[in-house]
Amino acid sequence: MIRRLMLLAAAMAVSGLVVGACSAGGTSPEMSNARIAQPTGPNTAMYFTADGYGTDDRLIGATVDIATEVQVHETVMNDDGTMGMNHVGAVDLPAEGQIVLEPGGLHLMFLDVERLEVGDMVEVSLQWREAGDVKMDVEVVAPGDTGG
Amino acid sequence: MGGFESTRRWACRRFRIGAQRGHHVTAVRKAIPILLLVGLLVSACGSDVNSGDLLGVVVDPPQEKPTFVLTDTSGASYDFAEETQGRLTLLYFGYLNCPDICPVHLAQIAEVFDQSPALGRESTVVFVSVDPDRDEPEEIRSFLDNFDSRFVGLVGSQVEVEAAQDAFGMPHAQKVGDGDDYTINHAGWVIAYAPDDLNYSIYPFGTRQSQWTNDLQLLAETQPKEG
Repeated sequence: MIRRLMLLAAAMAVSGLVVGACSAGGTSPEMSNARIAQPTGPNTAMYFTADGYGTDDRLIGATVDIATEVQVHETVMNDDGTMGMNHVGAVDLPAEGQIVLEPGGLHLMFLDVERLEVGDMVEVSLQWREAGDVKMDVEVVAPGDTGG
Repeated sequence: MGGFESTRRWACRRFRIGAQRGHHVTAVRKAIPILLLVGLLVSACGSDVNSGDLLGVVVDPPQEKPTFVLTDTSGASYDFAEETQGRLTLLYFGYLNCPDICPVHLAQIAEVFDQSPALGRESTVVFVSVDPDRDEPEEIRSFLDNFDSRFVGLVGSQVEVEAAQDAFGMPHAQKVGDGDDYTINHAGWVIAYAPDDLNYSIYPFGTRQSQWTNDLQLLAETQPKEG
């Protein structure tokens, strides 16, 4: 019985190693498809996809030099068919999960944003509970090109 | 994305579209074949537009253009029905502190006009601010100029803007939150009128660029009413 348990433990350890090797690993979320909509008014939005890196994490905020504040927002459909925006405190990123910020859903809202041109690169610092501050350069795209 | 479904629900209430027709629509992708089917049924009614080819949310029967009077960004009085008579007209109720969805419709429409300048010359795009407390006329002008300087921006008092929404049977935009940091619940769809001053279709958030291109071309081809 003990031997069987040991075998099981060994098998689990090996599979753990294999899984560990397969997952993105690293120490921070895998970021992709990040883009900032060229501002057309006092605020604008940023979108991205973040993949889990083997550790449960949580996006708790963001800062940029070009806006007075960044909030995590979610556009939602109300029962009467109108659309509203909710201020979301944080977003969970499971170890093996993914969060997608996209138009009509989750987005980072930049308040009182400076004027930006398409093609500008903006340094954004995302604050994760586990990974800490993660800096990235994000391209400004035309307001109609935020979908992808 | 529930945009097409909820817009269809509104359209059904507003225009008494048969509830069974789009019953299974839950997503844009699913909506298209259903809308095509609805369109085939509608096209038997003999309207100018072959609605079967429209990719927006089809309104059946087509609706007359109501009117309202607000003030444009230059301070002049603007009678919606009179100013847009005989033109392809796109009407949107939005606000400037709306970075996620409001710019997308306008950018998509502007893109169609860039590709087809004649279409731009024949059309009128009207943006009504549902945020009278924050949106100043000159800010609205500058916002719209990001897309197309011909886009018309309208302002009015809270009561006037609500009356304008009532004219279309739209739910009133509602403030959510206190202080200067409030957001607004508002209808996220564009109402389209063909040059015959009838509304054949509406466009929720989530409408694709190719759908806009297809539908604006089709709607523009209808003939204005005689006289």
